[in-house]
Amino acid sequence: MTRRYADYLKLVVRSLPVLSGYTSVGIAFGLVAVGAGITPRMAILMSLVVYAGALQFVAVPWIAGGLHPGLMFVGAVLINARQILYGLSLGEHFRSNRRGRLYRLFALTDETFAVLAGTADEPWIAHEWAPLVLSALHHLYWIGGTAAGAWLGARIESLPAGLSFALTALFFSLFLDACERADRRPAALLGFAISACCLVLGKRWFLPASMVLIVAASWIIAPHRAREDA
Amino acid sequence: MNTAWGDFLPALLALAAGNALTRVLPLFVLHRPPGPRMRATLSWLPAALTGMLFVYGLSGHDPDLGGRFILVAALALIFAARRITGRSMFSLVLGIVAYLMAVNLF
Repeated sequence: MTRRYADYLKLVVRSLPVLSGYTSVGIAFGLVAVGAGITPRMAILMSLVVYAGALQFVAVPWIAGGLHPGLMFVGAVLINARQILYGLSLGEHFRSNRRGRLYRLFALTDETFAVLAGTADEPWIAHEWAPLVLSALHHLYWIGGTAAGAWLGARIESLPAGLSFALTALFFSLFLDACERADRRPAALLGFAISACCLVLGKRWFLPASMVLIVAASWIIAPHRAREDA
Repeated sequence: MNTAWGDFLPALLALAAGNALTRVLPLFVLHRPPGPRMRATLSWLPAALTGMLFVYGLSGHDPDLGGRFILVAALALIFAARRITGRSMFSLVLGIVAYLMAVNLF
């Protein structure tokens, strides 16, 4: 086996944990989407052109409830604000390798970021095509999981109870990711506290009020924290 | 009732545009770096929003006492599995499977 194929094999092996995670969470998304009245084709199209796990789960009740597209746009920007940081922190990576740069930025999910950031020193990632192939593989896993879930959801009479827990578990996992890092913990806990307080406003106003208050609090507190940490 | 394509496509467009904006912004920011306040706020927001999303996820559940116990137990399982194995995706899948089994069996 040539060195090139051995390196691509390493790439596939590196993506296997993401395969198991994306397939199972993708299946849960497909099931939840179809259960909420979104057709299997729509669910697959959503995974193809949006490709943002947390946002897709959140958007299911938005679509089913007929939320205004303008509010969906604002919600999408706020929920995916972390992607801006991922792109920024991998700036050199995107400057030095321009192969499929726009697609790689689009496909830069939490897990792809984690793999790219964690393997920056490994020789296989230096191949010009490697980051693009890795991103496309992860995207394919997500679409495959969604298709399987949507296919299942369209064929079984009644969905098993408790599927919405996949969303809660995914958010809990992201929350734990943030809490495990000392520099992010205060922000995660602040977001949790503000949102918990906003629950008293009821389901309709909970998300908009939480987002506005979190952005305002971050604008005020974050620069002070950054100075203290420096 | 299924969602109509006429309702779905504007929603999909809005979500895709919002998502794409967050992905493309770094390309512009790479040429003109943000000021210190904006940079600090941007670095603070993602973690703060994970806190919000977790509350949002929890608010979608309205279980009885037994359901609450299963919910807390499943979250504790995810937490413990992460601590023991250090693998977040594995613990996430384990927690989801355990929750679904518990909810549908009991």
